[in-house]
Amino acid sequence: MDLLLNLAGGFAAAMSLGNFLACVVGVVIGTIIGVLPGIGPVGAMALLLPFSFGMDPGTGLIMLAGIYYGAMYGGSTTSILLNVPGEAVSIVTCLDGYQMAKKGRGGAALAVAAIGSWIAGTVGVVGLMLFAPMLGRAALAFGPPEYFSIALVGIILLSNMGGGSFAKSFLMVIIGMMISTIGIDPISGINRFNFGLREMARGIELLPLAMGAFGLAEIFCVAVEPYSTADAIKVRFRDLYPSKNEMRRSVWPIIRGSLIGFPMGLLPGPAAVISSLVSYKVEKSVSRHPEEFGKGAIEGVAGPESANNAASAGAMVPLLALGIPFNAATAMLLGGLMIHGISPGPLFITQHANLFWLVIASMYIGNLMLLVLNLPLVGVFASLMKVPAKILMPIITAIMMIGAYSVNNSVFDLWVLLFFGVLGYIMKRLDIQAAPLVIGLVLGAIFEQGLRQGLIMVDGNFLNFFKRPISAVLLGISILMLVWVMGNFVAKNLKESGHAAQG
Amino acid sequence: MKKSEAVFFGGTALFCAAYLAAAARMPLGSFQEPGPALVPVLLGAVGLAISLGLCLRPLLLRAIVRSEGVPRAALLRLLGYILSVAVYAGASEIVGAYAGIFIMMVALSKISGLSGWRNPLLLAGLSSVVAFLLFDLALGVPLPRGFFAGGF
Repeated sequence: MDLLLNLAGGFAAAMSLGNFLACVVGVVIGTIIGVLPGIGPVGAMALLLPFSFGMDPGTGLIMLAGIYYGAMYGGSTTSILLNVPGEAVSIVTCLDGYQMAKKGRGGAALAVAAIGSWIAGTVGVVGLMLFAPMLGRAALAFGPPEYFSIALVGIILLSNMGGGSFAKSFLMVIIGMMISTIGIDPISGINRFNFGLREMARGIELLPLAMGAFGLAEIFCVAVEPYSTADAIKVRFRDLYPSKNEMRRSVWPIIRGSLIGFPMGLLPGPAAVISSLVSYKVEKSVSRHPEEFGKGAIEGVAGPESANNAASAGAMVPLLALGIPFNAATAMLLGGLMIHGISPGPLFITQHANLFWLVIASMYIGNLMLLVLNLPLVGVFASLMKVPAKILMPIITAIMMIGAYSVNNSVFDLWVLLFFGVLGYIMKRLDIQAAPLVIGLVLGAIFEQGLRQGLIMVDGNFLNFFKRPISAVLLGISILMLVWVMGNFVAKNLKESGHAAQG
Repeated sequence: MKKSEAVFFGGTALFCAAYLAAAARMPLGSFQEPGPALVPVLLGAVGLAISLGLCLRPLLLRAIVRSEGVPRAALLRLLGYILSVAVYAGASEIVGAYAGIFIMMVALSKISGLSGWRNPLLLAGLSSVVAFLLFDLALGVPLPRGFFAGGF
């Protein structure tokens, strides 16, 4: 009953004119940015964060959440109509979505993607509404050893799930953690690694770093290889209705995608990307006509699109309940919250209950808005691809520079942005992901504080961390994963040296 | 592994070594009372080991391949972008954010290939005005005024 009353209160607040407009603006701008090549959800949030400065925390967060969802959905439009994924999560949608568009069923693919995203997003929000308060209550009993263990398991899982080499991802997490130690040590008060620079005392902040590594790096990539403006396959409004058969074939993939996506969103790493890949594989394996996959199977659009939206909602659970972002997009949301002086964590849901339920309600509304706004405007959004890079990139760079400055009114942040922009570009060229670096920065502080305070708590005996059930389970998982990674590494090397000896 | 990758990991190894050396100068503390250097030393050592492994392994296995170069024109565009952003970062407090945006936008438009002078100037002028209206007037975000501090 309390749950429904809280939700009703959230809806009442979300329907106020200011909040409603923030939701509309967030969803529309998010979709626009999602449609543009390169600037994915994280870049979009980084870019548009300064627009939330003048707003109150609830309104600002609603807009940021809208941008997150909008950008996730925007990528599917270009995937289906242009075979160009706006961001990584939409790569899978290209496989069948574009084939459907070539057969004249692009409208149906867009409609199914939108309906699937809406249903899965709503399922995800229900999950968030049920699980986040539960986890938040449980987390009230967490002490430093538990937070240390969560950070450790997050770091190892994140390095493992990036899709590339474990060692490279792990190194990036470690470097992110090193950066988190710059500035005043919160326990001893000693200034660390500031090299005499006053600005370094407050440390390297998440927002300019993420803006650089995701946004500016992408602009540099476009500067080197400008994208070509392409003609999208045209979709008429009357084509947006899926046939009865297409709807029937989409029902189970949407349900399965939602159920796959939400729990995957709770895990560290690029959950939205992985869940869309898993969903595609599941759909192909359970399909009665797997031969149609890759040639325009509606299940190949419905499942992955649903999974990535459910995962996006799932990823909000650890952020809101524990204050720990497990992916780069939620790290940006954390940055947005902190700008408004709010630290999510176990106490967030009790101390800021109004804000929590406002966000939940606005997510329901945002999901519905995606469906209502995006389908009729699909042609407009797709035509944005025709804006040439030589006009768009200078504008985006200018917004980014103003945004980075206005976080702290500091020119130092502009240099941080530039440095990580160049680093992010180099990493992109070398196929090294930036997300572990950003998450390392966030998890580093939790890891260090948890370890040091935990050691003080257990009188220096680390083995006592294993006497606490949650901490023991998480540390056990971390050890098992490390053993598995090491085992794989040794086996791979033995195999390679065996081949070399035979050769 | 590409040569550029090996160079990158060589660079991260140097960074980790420098970080470790700086961390070693801080109090390490004990397990009962861990000092500010405990975690940095741990991170520096792990980072250095992985970086060296990633850099040296392909060298020892002689598995280094040449990296694909960036075409000269693209490289110049990239350097132009970096320089424009750096100039903005350095000059925005002196000339003011809006004048800085105007200059940066003109430079970026030309570097990106917008032909003539009318369009780049128009784009830069419009962007500066919109930025002023949006950030200064609508959102109330104070940006540096520079020369114009007392002006408007």
